[in-house]
Amino acid sequence: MAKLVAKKMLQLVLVVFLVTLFTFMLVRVKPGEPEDLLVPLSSVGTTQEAKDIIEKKKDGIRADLDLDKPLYQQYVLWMSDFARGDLGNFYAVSSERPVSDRVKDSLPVSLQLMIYAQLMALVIAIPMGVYSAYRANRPVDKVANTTAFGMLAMPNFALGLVLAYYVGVVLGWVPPTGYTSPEVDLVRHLKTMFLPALSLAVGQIAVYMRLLRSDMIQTLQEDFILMAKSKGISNARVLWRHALRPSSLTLLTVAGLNVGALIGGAVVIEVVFALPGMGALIAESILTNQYVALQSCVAIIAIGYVLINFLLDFVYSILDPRIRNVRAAG
Amino acid sequence: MSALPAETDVSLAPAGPGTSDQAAAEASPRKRRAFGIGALLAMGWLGLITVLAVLAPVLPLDDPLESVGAIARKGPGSAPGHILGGDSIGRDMLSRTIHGARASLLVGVTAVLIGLLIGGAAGLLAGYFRGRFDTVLTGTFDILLAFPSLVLALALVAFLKAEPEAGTKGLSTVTIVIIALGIVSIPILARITRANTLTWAQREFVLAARAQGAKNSRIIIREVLPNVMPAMFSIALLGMAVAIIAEGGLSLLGVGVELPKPSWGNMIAEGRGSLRNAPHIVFVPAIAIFLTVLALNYMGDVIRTRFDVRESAL
Repeated sequence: MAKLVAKKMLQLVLVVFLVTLFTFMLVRVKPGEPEDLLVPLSSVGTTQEAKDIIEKKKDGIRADLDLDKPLYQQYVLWMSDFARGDLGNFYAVSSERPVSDRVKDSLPVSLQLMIYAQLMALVIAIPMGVYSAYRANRPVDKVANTTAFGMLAMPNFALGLVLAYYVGVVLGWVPPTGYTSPEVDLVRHLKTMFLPALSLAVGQIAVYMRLLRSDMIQTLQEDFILMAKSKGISNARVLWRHALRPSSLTLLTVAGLNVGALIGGAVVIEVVFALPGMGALIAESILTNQYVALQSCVAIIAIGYVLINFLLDFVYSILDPRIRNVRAAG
Repeated sequence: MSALPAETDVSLAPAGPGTSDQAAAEASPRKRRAFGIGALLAMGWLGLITVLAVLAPVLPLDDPLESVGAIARKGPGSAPGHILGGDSIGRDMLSRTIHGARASLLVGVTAVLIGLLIGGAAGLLAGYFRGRFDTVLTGTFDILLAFPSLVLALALVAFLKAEPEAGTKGLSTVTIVIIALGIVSIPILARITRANTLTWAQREFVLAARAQGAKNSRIIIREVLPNVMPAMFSIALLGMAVAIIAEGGLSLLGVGVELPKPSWGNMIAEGRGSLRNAPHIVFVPAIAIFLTVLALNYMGDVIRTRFDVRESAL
């Protein structure tokens, strides 16, 4: 086990290095000088005074980003700043604000959205999957399957807008857009997060349900299920206590891998529902050419995604001793 | 909803040769004989929008860029002569939806073609020759797959974006979106192709061909590729669906196909402002995307099912 952990850790470090390097290069290799991209000329006017201000600004940026140093040193310096929580600045002409301030506010919003969506998806998909496996090929199962297929084809942003219109505007049950922090008003927070989380969850529900159903159908044909039934254990207990756990491994793997889809989905859904999360921050960074901010945000998301996958690897081996033993042997 | 192919391949990837998919096996006897009604409907819809999109400039449609004040925000049926009504500034919705199909389908098809050509070739070579080449390629693609795909697409769009201020000459936004989504799809298609190639390259008939003195290039093209094709094609259909959705996502983030040229994505993004008074501006392109994605997913499944059936019948 210790050897496995060491090997995995090494892999993790390598992937984080390459991912951050890729992010760094993407922004630095872009044609044009970084300082020119960050501070567009037209933003203040053409008087001599304005030009002086801009030149001063650019000097500041050059010093800040260590642009006079070789590329590999720039990367090392960026990473060491990044690791210490210095994510660079938004270089607007009038003022400079640290990116970390914005990230501190945005990251929790995105995490809340993703956690709610994932929970909602699992809470709805697991009973649906269990029940349609139990009733495989009966009408209930067929309806559930067809519904799932339709859910997969609905883009989350389109669903979000449809929900915002019908539930938010026509019915008026929840505010159609906007964000309230849970510290300010928990009930309102949950109300505002309901539609975004649901829009994001629907596609996952379909995926999870279909997966759990097909794994569960296989499990239900195993001898230990027959054994449990022959002992007179109720169907519900057999399904939930005996069959669900061995059937849930693929589901959990995919739930883990789907974090990537969830992040991508959250980015768009945040913009649809005007939630001030990482997605909104990335969109703003691109539209205002704030590449330093973009680089930091993309790096944060990629590192987070890599870390989640890394942790999930261990979760699986805890859940299923067979994996643990096989891997330890190999 | 999965945002991009990286995630859908988890759920929708064809079971590789040798593994039997429960659902596919159940449905197989029926679907094996002929295309069902669902497949015919799906093909009908895809055919219809493709023809409309291709012929859009010569069809008797209103100018998709011209606004008529009288039909602004009028819903379907409430503006005579404009079946789907008008958008927020009075442009004909029907015309914009059909012209929008041009951009959306172009993005979907071309992005996936880039992925198929580059990713497919790389996957074939990696799976066939294995060794160091495989390690390097798989490693490279794993780095790209370490990014959530929409975030990678965003980063690529930002990289490709024209900066007139900095003196870089620009690509059109359609081209940028296509390249970005194409690059995103390369590692996904490469991974699927490689996995399939690995199993097929072990088969007896490949060995037989080699024993007869066939060159590697011939074995790859004549023996392995035809067997890997169905899996690639079924993933490609799903990939197109995902690319069409991704274009919508990029549009909502403000970096998709640029207005006023319509795409389904930017129509939705633009209609968002009038959601309260004129929801049809969002709903019409949303339904177009939904039906197209549904049809593509369905056809992907049909191909996958047939492919599995043929395999299990061996």
